[in-house]
Amino acid sequence: MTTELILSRVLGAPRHVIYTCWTTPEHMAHWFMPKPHSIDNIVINLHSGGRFDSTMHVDGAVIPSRGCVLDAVKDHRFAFTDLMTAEFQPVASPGLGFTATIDLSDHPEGTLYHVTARHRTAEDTQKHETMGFSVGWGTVATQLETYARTL
Amino acid sequence: MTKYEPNLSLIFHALSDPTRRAMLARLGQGPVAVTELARPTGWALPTVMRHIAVLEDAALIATEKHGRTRICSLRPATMEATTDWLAALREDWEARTDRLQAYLQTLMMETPDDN
Repeated sequence: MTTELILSRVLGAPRHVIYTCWTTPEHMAHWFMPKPHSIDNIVINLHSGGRFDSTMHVDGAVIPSRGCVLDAVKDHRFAFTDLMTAEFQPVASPGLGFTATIDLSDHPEGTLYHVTARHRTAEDTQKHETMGFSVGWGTVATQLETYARTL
Repeated sequence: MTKYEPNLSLIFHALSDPTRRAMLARLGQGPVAVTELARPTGWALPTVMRHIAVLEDAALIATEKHGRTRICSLRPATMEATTDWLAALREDWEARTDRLQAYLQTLMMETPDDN
C-alpha cells in the first residue's frame, strides 16, 4: 500500500544530459538541494544494488543520507530508494521511506521527464504508533484530497 | 506555546470508516444536529455517538450543545493540514525539477554542441 506521486514534465535537454545530471555527483550538487541548503560527499554506484549516499547540509545540520540504486539504465531510467542501503540491505528506520523512479523518453522539444515517487504512508512517515488496523492508505489519501477540494 | 499539529493517527483512523466519511460529507454541507446525522445510518444513538467521538478526537469535527440538542460541525482546517503531507512531497519534487531544468539550461548554453 503506497502513496504515489507522479510528475511529468518536458525538459529542454537531451536524455543523456538529464541522465548525467541525475547520476553524476558533480552535477547533482548543483541542483538537488534548494539553496541555501547543500549536498556533498555524493557517491553513486550506477548499478542496481549500488550505493546512493550523500551528506546533506540543512540549516547548519549535517544529515548523512544512505540509499540504494534500484535500477540504472543509461539515458533511460534511474531508480533509487532510502529503504535500503547498498546491496539491498534493508534500513532499520528509514527517513521518508520511498522509492523514486526517473524515466526519460524522447520528446520533440527535448525529453519527457517522468518521476514516480512511491512512499510509505503518512502514518509511517510521521512515526506515529500503529493503530493496529489495516486500511488502503493510498485510497484514503486520494479520498482525502478529493474531499478537501470540496471544502 | 505549541503549534497546532494534526494527529495523523487519529485522523486516518477516523477516516478509515465509511460511515464516518459519510458523516463528514454530510457535515460538508453545514452543521447539523446529532440526531440528524444519525438518521441515514439507521443505528442506535450510542453507536452514532461513538463515531462522533472518534471524529471529534481527531479534531475533524466540533460539537456544541444548544439546549437539548448537540450540533456537529466540520473543522476544515484539520482536513487541510492532513492533505499538506502529500502536497509538501509534491512541492519538493516540483521544486527539484525546477532546479534541474534551470541547471540544464546553463549546461546547454555552455555546451551548445552537446545535442
